[in-house]
Amino acid sequence: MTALPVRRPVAPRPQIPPTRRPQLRLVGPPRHARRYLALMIFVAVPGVFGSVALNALAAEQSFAHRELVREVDTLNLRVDGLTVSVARLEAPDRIRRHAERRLGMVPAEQPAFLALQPTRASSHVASRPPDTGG
Amino acid sequence: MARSSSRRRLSLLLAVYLAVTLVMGWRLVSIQVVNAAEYRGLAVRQTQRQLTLPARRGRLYDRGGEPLAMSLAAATIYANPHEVRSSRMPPMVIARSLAPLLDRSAQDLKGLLLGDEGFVYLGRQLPWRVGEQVTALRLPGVGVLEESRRVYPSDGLAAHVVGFAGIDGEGLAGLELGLDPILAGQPGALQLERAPGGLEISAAPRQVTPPVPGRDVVLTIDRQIQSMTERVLGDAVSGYGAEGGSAVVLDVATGEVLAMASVPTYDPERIGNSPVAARRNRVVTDIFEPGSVNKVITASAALEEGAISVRERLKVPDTHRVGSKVFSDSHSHPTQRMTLAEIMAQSSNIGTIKLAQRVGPRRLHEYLERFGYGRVSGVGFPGESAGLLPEVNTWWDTSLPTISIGQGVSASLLQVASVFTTIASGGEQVQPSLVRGNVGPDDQLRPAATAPRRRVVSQETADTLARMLVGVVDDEHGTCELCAVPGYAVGGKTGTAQKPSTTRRGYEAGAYVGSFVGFAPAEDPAVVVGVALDEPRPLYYGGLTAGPVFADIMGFTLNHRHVPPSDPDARSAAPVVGSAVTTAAAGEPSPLARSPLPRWTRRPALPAWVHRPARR
Repeated sequence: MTALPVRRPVAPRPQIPPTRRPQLRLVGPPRHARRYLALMIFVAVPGVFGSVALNALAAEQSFAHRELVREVDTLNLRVDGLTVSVARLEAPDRIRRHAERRLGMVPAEQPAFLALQPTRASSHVASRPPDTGG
Repeated sequence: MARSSSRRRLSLLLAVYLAVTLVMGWRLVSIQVVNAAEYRGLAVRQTQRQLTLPARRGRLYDRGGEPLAMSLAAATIYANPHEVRSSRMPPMVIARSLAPLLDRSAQDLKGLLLGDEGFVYLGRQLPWRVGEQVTALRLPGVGVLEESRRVYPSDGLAAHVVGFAGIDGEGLAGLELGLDPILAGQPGALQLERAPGGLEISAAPRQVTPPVPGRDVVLTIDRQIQSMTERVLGDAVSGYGAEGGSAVVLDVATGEVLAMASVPTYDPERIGNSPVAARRNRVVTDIFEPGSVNKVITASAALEEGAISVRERLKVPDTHRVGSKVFSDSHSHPTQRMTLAEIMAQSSNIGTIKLAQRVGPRRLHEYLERFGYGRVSGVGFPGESAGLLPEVNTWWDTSLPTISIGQGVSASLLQVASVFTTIASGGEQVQPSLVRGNVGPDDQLRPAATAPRRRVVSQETADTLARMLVGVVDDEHGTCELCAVPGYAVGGKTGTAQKPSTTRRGYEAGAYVGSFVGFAPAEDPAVVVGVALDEPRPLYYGGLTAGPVFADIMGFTLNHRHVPPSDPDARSAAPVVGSAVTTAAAGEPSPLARSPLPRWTRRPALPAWVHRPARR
């Protein structure tokens, strides 16, 4: 025989006295939020724009710098080229050929040397015919 | 039951979490610690690009500041065949566009453009404007690199001294090779950041290690004297049909080489067109038996050792037997009694041999060494020959007489000229030099170290011998009347030596080296000139072949350097060279040494490097 379970008596729940809940009301935005927002926009936007602008400026300067370096290189190349041209034009052999063939010049005669002395002036003149030039 | 299942699930999850964490942790350690270097390298390779910035190679100047060698920017055209193939433009069109600019056939270029490599050169070191034209064509897979090209703007002047550099800018011969550590500089590096596509990020920071440019070097060569020397020597070699020739001009006071020429010559900008033999600087790399020029050493030894006095007369027949060999003078004559001055003036073999026998083999060998035979001169030229001076214990009976007259011993023309510089400078040997100094980043000339000097013979011996050597030119029996330079007293010695055979023992029949080495003005020597002609024909005597070349070079050099002429009264007062000459030679330094400022400071314009723009 099975005994039926005996229900335990349920203790009565304590009655909570009804309290008056505070009345819900719409809360407006914090008083300083707009200022914060404005401040943030004021700081962030120019900051972003400034940073982008600076970056662009730096890039531009970098290009300008590179352009100047290239220009200096080009000018150096030109100077080097002109130096070579001048050196080629100044080559003694070229000048000699030019003088003889185009200008009709002839090699200089041997120089005469004058020995000046207090009592007399004697000359010592080259006796060897000129054949070397230059 | 439910609780334990839940716990198991939790444990499993925790285990999985731990495992994943461990794996991630291990991977993290692996990447960050264990293989950090490898990954760093990979990252650098992916994002960084390093370019080598070549250093500007230093220039070579003559003593007056005129450039003898310098570097110019040149364009190197390359192609990436992979890019060419993947482009829309047919390779033949690219090849046809490039062919006229690169001076190559379109077919050749097409072959290169279709190669398997990722990089091929289409043309190297072309003029810069070619690079600009190629860039303007905007051809796919074709690019232009900047390289530097070595140019020699003085029309190959002093080519044997300057040498040449290779296509990659490294010195290959001459001073370009010898001075390579100074001229080359140190390459720099440029580090760039690049995007995944390989494009450079222009705004990214760049790391630049600037190249250190090579230093410019100022040589002792005088461009005018060098040009004159090369021309006169070239004319003589072609006039006598000689195999070749060499000449050197030295400043007595400083040992500086003012000119150094060899024939045949070559164009250093077209190396491929010249035979290797033409590129030798014969003055320092070729040795020859100096012949009678060597008698100066024998005479110096005899004077210094007191084996003969200036007034003593030796009995000189025209032949003389030593051991199994009979030596003879160049012409037959009755037995004479000759002074040392006459022996030198007439270049008597027998007289010189008799002197050598008085000196003895050991002492003669010692003097040959003292004068610089058997060792390099120290001029600093790559490939310089030390000459051949047999050890005295290997000498045969006939070695003493043979060597005393300049056979059986070999020296370079520079060594022989250095002997005469020693005599001309009062017995002190000055080491010859080719470098005057180098120019630093501040564009100031830093002079090279002063050439060392050492005494070889006494001043008295040197002066006595110098006076005697004037007789070679001035004396009526002298061997070189053609060596006279109008207005100046000249001292020197002729040499005519047989050439050793290259195929058998002994000498080559009919093959001679004619030479003359001398100094002027004799009363106060300023310049030494040495000339050697290799197998001149039909004349071969040094006095007849090399002598006139010497006179031309010496005359020009003395005038060019404003060396005052010899006093004609002093010259006529003494038959050989009188007392006035002795005083000057003994006491006063060379007029070049007296010059208050270096020559280039007296140029109307400042030296070239002062005007040069700041280097990169």
